[in-house]
Amino acid sequence: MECPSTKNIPNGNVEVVKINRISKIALSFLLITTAVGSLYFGFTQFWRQRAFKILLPSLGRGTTGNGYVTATLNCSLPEIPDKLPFLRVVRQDYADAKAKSMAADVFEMTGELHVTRPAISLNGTVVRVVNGTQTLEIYEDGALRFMPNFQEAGYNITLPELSQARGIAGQFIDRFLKKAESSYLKPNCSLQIVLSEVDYACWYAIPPSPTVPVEIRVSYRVLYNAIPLIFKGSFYVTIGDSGKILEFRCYWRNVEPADPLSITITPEQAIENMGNNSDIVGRNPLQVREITINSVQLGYFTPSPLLGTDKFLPAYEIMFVATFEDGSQSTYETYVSSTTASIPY
Amino acid sequence: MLNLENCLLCLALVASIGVFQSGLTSVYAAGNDDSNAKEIGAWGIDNYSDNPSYPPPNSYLRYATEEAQGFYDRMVEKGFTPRFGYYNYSAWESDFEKQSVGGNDYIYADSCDFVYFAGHGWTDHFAFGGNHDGDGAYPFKAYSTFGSAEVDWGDQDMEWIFISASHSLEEFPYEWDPAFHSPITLHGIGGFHTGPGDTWESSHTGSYFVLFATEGGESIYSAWRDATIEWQESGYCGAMYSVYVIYPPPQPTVHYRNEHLLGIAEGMYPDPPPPGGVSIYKEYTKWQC
Repeated sequence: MECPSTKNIPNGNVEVVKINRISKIALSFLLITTAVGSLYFGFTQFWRQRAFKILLPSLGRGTTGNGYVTATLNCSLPEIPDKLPFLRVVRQDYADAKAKSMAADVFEMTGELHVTRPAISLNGTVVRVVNGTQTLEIYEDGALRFMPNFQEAGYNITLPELSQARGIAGQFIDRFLKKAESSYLKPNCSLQIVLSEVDYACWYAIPPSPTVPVEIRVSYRVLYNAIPLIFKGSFYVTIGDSGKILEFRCYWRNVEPADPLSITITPEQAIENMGNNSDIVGRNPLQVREITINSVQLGYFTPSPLLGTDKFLPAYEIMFVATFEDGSQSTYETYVSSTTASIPY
Repeated sequence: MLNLENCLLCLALVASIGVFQSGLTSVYAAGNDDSNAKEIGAWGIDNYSDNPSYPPPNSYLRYATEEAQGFYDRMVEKGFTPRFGYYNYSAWESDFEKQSVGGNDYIYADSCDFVYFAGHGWTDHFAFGGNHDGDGAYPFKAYSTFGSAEVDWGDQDMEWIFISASHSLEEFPYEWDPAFHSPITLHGIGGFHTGPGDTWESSHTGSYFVLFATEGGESIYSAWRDATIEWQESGYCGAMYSVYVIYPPPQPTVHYRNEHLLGIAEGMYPDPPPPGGVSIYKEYTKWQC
């Protein structure tokens, strides 16, 4: 006996059910594909297509008014906290005996050590220790500069490979950090040193011969609680002939976290505001056609130790390539405050 | 009577020849006047509103005059002799140009031992706010390239010039070569391969060059290099052209970039010797800031 209800179900209904199933499967496939695609583009491509309009008060020579340039984002934008403490600089006076002790113990300077205090800073004291061939400079805020070898001008330079230079610098830094750990030199705060770049940094020529590299710079980022010191928070080793270390610039600082500041400027706003800086392409007189932003990073704006700054404020470091009217391109960096406080830039 | 007239004539002739000779001698002496080797001049321009190459609102730099003035003030503070501090409309291109193109460098820039310029520029010129070109060939510019240079420095006093203008010492095509008077007496030119910046930070470059070269005891090369590294963005490159002399052995070679300001360390080197028996080059160094 047939079930009337089943029997009475019109074939068409059955067909409808079949169509719905196919639709659902197709729809599901479409949704999954879209989701996967969105995820892919979201993570890899979406930000590449973002563009900002930046108002530049000066587009360069030959322009007739304020104008906008398109800044294409070629990187991801950083996640930012709501608040970040600014860093207060802790200064200390290095007595002659302490300075000599550091030079001998940490930098292995030998011979007769002389201490002077050259007035090369308008805003603070620099202690200089010399032994005739080597120089160590110690700043009140903890920044250091060590010059163990001098390199004369000329072509007779044999540089190591970049990878070798990285190794030489790494060994030097490891040794330095171990020795600094047990001295007054290392800042008494959370600190990380992260390798950032190995590249040539000085070139020489007798024109019209082309220049040849004569120095390699192995650069590191100094991080305080994962936030980098930007601008002149330099930390690098310069390597010259036969792998000799020419300079160790260690512009880390003795700081302590102070009051939290609200991060009121988003990375997007920082990009839009970068045109407010005094000419962002320096004194380059060419007209800017477009900008490609390769990096936006939140950090602590750290001026030269010679400036004697009391605090380091949160700010964005924006690295970009400007394309000019003649097609030439140059790399630039600019800095924008991430709070209501202005930075000394 | 006739004899007396002849005597008077002879006397007049002798006197006039003497005066003429002394005039010539003094002009010649001024040709390489090292009687005071500490004379300085600074030129800085923010206002380019009358220069058609920089129409509004691009007519203004913000920190060029401050940078040049920083050099001037510190040099004077360290005992150097102030000759000229010319800014904006007071800074003229003819101050840097040679006489044969209507310039007055022999009165101004080339009568100083150390000169600093901050403002706009490019690989073959640095630019001024007003038009004071002697022959109208390159208005608003102190121009230098092979075959048509308006500048010729060192035949008077100039030992060093620092040109803080965009790409002023770009690696090639080496357009400032004719700026070195022949035979060479200019010791070197400091500048930028790329950069400089126009920020408050970068405005310290001039004054800190002086501090490094005096208080810091650094050579002119080290002081310029350190000043640019300390105050310019790391993406820029500082640069220097300097004279390099190879004497016959056993005499040592001389890199003029290693000399110091007067009164610091071993001080300055004598001007390069005339050609013949020595090899004289100009060496170029550029560095990442």
